[in-house]
Amino acid sequence: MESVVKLTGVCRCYGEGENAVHALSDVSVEINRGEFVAVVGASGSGKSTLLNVCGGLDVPTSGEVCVGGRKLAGLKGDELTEFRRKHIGFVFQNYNLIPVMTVKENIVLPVQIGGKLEDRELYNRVVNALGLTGLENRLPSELSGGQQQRVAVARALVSSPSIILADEPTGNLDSAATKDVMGLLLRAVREFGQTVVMITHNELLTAECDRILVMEDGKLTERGGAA
Amino acid sequence: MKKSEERKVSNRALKILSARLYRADRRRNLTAAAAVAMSAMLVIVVLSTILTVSELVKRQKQMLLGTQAEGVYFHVNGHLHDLLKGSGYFDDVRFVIQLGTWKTDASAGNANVFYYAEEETAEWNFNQLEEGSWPVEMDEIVVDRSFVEENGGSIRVGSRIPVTFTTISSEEKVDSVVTGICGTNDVLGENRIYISENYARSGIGGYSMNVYCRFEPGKYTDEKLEEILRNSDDIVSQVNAVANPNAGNRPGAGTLALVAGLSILASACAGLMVYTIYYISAVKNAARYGQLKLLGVTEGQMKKIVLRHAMRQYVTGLPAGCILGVLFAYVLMPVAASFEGLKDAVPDLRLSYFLCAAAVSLAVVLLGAKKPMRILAKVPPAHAAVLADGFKRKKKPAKSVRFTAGSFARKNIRRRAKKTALVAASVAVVMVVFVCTMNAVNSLNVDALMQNFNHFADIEVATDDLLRLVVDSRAGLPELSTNMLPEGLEDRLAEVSGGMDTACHYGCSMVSFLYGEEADKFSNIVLGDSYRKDAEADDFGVNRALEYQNGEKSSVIMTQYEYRFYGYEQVEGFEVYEGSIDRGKFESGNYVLAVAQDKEGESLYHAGDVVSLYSEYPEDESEKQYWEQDKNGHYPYFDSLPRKDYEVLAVVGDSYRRQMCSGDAHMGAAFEFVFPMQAMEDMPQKPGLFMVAMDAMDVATLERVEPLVAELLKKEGGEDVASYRSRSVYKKQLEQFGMTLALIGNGLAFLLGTMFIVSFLNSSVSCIAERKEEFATLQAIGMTRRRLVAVLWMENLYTVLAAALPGYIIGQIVSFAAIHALSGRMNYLVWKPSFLPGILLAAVMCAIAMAYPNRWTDIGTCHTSKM
Repeated sequence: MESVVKLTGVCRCYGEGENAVHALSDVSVEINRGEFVAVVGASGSGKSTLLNVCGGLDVPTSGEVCVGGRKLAGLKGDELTEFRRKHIGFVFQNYNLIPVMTVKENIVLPVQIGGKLEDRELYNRVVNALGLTGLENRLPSELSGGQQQRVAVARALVSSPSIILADEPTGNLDSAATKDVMGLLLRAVREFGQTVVMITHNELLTAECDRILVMEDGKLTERGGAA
Repeated sequence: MKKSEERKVSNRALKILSARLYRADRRRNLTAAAAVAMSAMLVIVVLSTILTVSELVKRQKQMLLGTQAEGVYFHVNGHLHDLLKGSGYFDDVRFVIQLGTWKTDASAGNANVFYYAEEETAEWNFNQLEEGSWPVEMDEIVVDRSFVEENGGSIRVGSRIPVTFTTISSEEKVDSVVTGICGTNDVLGENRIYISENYARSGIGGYSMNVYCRFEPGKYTDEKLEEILRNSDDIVSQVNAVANPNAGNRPGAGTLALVAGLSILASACAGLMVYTIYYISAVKNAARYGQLKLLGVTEGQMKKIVLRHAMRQYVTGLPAGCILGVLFAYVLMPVAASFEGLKDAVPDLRLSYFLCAAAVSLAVVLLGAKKPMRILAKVPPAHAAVLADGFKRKKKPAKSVRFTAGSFARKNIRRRAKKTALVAASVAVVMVVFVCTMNAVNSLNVDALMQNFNHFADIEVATDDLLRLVVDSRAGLPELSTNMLPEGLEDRLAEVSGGMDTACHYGCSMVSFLYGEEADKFSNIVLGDSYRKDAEADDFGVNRALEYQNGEKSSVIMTQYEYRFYGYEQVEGFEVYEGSIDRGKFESGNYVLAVAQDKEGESLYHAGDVVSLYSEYPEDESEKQYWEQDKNGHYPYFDSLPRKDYEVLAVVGDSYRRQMCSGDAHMGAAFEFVFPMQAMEDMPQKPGLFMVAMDAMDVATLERVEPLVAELLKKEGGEDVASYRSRSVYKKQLEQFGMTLALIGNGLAFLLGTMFIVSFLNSSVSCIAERKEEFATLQAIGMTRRRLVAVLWMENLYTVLAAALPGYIIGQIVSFAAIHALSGRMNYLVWKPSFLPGILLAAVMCAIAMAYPNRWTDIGTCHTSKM
């Protein structure tokens, strides 16, 4: 299977000396295309750090991170930004929509600022699949939490990234909306062939996942075996 | 997709994004646009008012600006003309005879002047002949375009028009024929007529001779031209230059420095405002820009967004600023102009000023946005909520300290020393400027100055030039010949001034030569009078005395004897040092009163002395042939003139009742002899009326008469002909000066105060934004929000008070030193500090300091979320 994200011996350390915090300790993992991976662990175990490192938002203290076959270490500044725009989609707990832009504009923004026009067919598929038809001209403030998260997922999908990183995507949602969003992420994987890595501390949500990675004190293990 | 198409798509997306973000932050963006407008407005106001006033003042004072000139007028006699011509400094020297004023049925006033000059000379003065020919016959004239406009626009070559020509000694109505029309010299603001040589020589008399000296443009500075004139001839007492045609074009270095300084200050203030607004926006929107970074907006694209905002503010603010600048320029111009005694001044609004404003505002907006733009572009996508000191993490581990509100506040001030210092500096500067202004205004003692005017009449009518010397408080001899009032004015004034005690002042002057002992005595007396000596540059007598004593010129002192003519009722009030004023003898016409040269009664003459004064005198004393000297340095022509002997009846002071002999006393210059009014007819030179002084017996009379006098003078031709001053006018002018001083000083303090508020806001807002997590933690561990806000107030108060107090003290010291230094020369500045305004300002500053944060300010909660 094609590897989308590969971490080799990645360490991330904050602080120095006695105050040093090892958020990631010698983490090595490979995530393949089309997988729906959940990352679980207690608070402070390093889940978000792992996600940030995978997404190029944080720089590892040591080790190597490859996304889509490209080492992130060699990328800086605008190059890294552009790479992230093309290859990595993000879905966050707080949705992080641009409040002054409409639903449609939020969805197509990452594509258009890269100078590309959105794939209309893909756009329509995504919007229909995520139940956003008729909401395109609304502002985020006019949507419910679940609807906003759908927009975030749509935004991540429309740019056709190599991987979608979701950090507690259902953290702010009620159970119904949670179920909804989980369903969408699953559809993204099954229907759109996406690779999704999702952080959650809700064990119930891991039931549909292909793999479950466990973070504990900065170390990564795979449930049911090694990572 | 092609690269160009990709660029189009991304630019369009950025444009939409930029517009949405701009609209979302509307209030702040409008404030930034207002700052841009303010900088543009201030630049236009400063340039148009100050430069215009400066130019007008230069024209009014008829300055020489040799560096721009092609030529210059000097007021001369024939002898000086020859000296200048032979000096080798000038390419050519030609006469321009200024004869007097003209009037027609449609036009009158001092701007209507008539000259004699050759055609080529007139052409040098922008009076080039446009139609017709130069006048030859007695009744022929050439008029300039402004004459044509003043007289209805229908004058043509060949037109006949009755013109009344008035010189000092004559008035004649001539049915004139216009033989030519020439261009107008706009710079001098005159309406000119050129008469023929025949008419000029016909004996109309009373003219003043000027020469126009041509030289290569820029060859001589003002100082050099003055030096050339002073060195040319011994009878030149002062540089009396008529306006250089190019005079007034270039403002002086001082004016330019003032303009530059104010423009820089305005721009700095606006720039700081823009910077602060952007900085606050960056801090507040860091999370949003972090989101954009996360979505893939590159640094370059972030900068483009911010730059778009900046240009939008510029495009919004600049036109508004230009319009406001024009409006304020028209409002402020009369105030600025009145300070220099100018009237009806309008701001000169040039395209270059607007271009300058545009450039300055652009610089303001670009420089103001530069650092915040860099900050936003560098916002990391994952930690956009935190914007603390360039994202550096503190390396040192925190010391544990006992927490008190005061220690917390002081620790924070130390941590943010740079930003705190900026706030403190602006507080201190505002306080210093404000305190100095308040003290200066408070120390302005109008009554003290008005004491000096107690010996002046309630209303004085004279030419504007003569009255100005009161305000300037200069000593020096006025040019009486050019400061005569219209004939018969005293009768017309008498018709409206019933109930006033009126004194008419008549005078004339004739040259006089002192030799030997007389010359020694004269120079000792004159130079012994410190007041006259201080006025050296303007006092003819002092100049001659100095030259005599320094042995520079010759063994003769050539001076100008001033004669005054009064009735017995006036002279009986004079202080008598020697002799007595017998009415019969005084009015007989065989006696004169000699006037003491100083307050101790020193005089060239004593009671009983016989003085020989001219009984004949040339009509035009400046003609060259009269000034030939013999080998002893004497002037034989003048020595040969017939004289009449007068006995000195008494030696008197130059004051009576509580009035000095106005005009002279204002200028502090001396006059030599007092004759009875009856002697006026027999004088070889016709005396003229130069001042009418009126005193009221009561306030009601004064209030009734003053507007009637004003009305009468308006009908006579306005201030071009005669003006008046009353004590109330002086007082009003002085009070206006005080108001102007307050306006300027407090305006400056306000401008600086704005900087204080801006820098304070900058510091406060960024402080809160940077420390949100810290505040959240404090609240989480139990510190109430109220207490936290109180700590922030204490920080602000510490900063403000620590700067306001030294600023207050420095302001008091500086104003004391300055006023003390100036009060020697300005007796109306009497040190009188004002304490309360500075204290009130400190209170206002403290109130501002405690206005932010307030209960609505978001200082974070203990649930502050991270990305």
